[in-house]
Amino acid sequence: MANELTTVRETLKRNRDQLLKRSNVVATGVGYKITGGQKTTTLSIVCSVTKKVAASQLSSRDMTPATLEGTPTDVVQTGIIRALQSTTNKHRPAPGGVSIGHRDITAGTLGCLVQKDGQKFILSNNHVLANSNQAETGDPILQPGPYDGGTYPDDHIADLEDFVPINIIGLPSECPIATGTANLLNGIAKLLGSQVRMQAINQQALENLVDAAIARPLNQEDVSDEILQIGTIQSTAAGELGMAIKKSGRTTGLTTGVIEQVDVSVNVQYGQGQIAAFTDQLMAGAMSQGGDSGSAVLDDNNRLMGLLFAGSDTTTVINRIENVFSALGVSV
Amino acid sequence: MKYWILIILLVIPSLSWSEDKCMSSSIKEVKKQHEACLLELPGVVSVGIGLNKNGQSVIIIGLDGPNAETEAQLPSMLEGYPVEVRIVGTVKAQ
Repeated sequence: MANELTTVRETLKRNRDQLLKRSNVVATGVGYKITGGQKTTTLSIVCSVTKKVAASQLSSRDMTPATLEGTPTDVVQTGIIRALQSTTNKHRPAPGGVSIGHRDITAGTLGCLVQKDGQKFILSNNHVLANSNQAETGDPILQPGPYDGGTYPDDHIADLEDFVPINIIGLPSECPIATGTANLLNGIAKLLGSQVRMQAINQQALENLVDAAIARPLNQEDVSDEILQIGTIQSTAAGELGMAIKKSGRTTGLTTGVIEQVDVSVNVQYGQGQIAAFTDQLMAGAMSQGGDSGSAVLDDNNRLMGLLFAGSDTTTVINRIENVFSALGVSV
Repeated sequence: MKYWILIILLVIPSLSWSEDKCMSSSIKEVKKQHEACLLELPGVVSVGIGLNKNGQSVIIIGLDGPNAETEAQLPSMLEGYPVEVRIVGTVKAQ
């Protein structure tokens, strides 16, 4: 048996080049011949073709011989074989799910395209496209992101258009007295009709709803409505408990999960000692890692329902898409 | 004059407070009322609403790791709603 295999492999080696020259053959290998849908015990040289074609429609030049040096051949239809698309490569047009980033960050994920004033924009996180509030409108956005080898100006795909500032604070203050005082003062302010509300020191003035930003593509042809491994967005949906969801991201690719918590208020670390408090978030189980930030989150019917931005070893935190859209004034 | 303003300031908030107390609050309202203080306990990183094993709505308190001291301070019920504690780990921007 081992000898037979060696013989067939050598036969293949000698004939491989002439086989691959035939117009439909995209791969060759050694395998058991399949006859009438059943695997046999006969070793054969397998020729993978993009499409099986009747012998009468093939020129003799493109026909695969029935045997080669006594070894039978088998023709199998596999279609066109493409390289698995790497999320960290340069893509033009760039789909959702690939590496992107402001020139001063590492890398995040291009979420999807959104519309504003009839134009297409790239949607991702503030901390991906706007370097956590540090960027200025018009700053170059690179695809892939700098960590994945993106450089300016070669990989310049878009310019930062707009971002929702994130209130980043230090560590939270001690609770009862400080917040108690602030609440009392707020009660008074409310009575007086004041728009101003007191906050305990270290507590942010506004709780964050989204970590979101948009970038304007230099050319509309450089971006694609597709999301890798997902397809196109059908519409939007509001996240609910128990909803099955999926995302396509730079680091972990296509992953799925379930919304396990809604109305989540969560403290998120932005680097050492930097914390931002978010409210009205959705929480799913582990379905992301660093670099997946900015991924569009969709339900089973390809309805866009969230923007992924944070997580831990066991959880994933997602902005509600309705909050993202209203903060940025965009739509699908 | 100042005396009257003070009385108004003190009486009106307490009226609106007792009004809140009389209505039976939704789980969302109860969570909102308590989350600021819960989030300032050491190790608490999140407060949300989910379902327990029996499909009942619960307030879920997330910790960054096991923390006996904080866990001892957490209530098992908040205004009639069950509280569940889960270790969610440190949540970071990704």
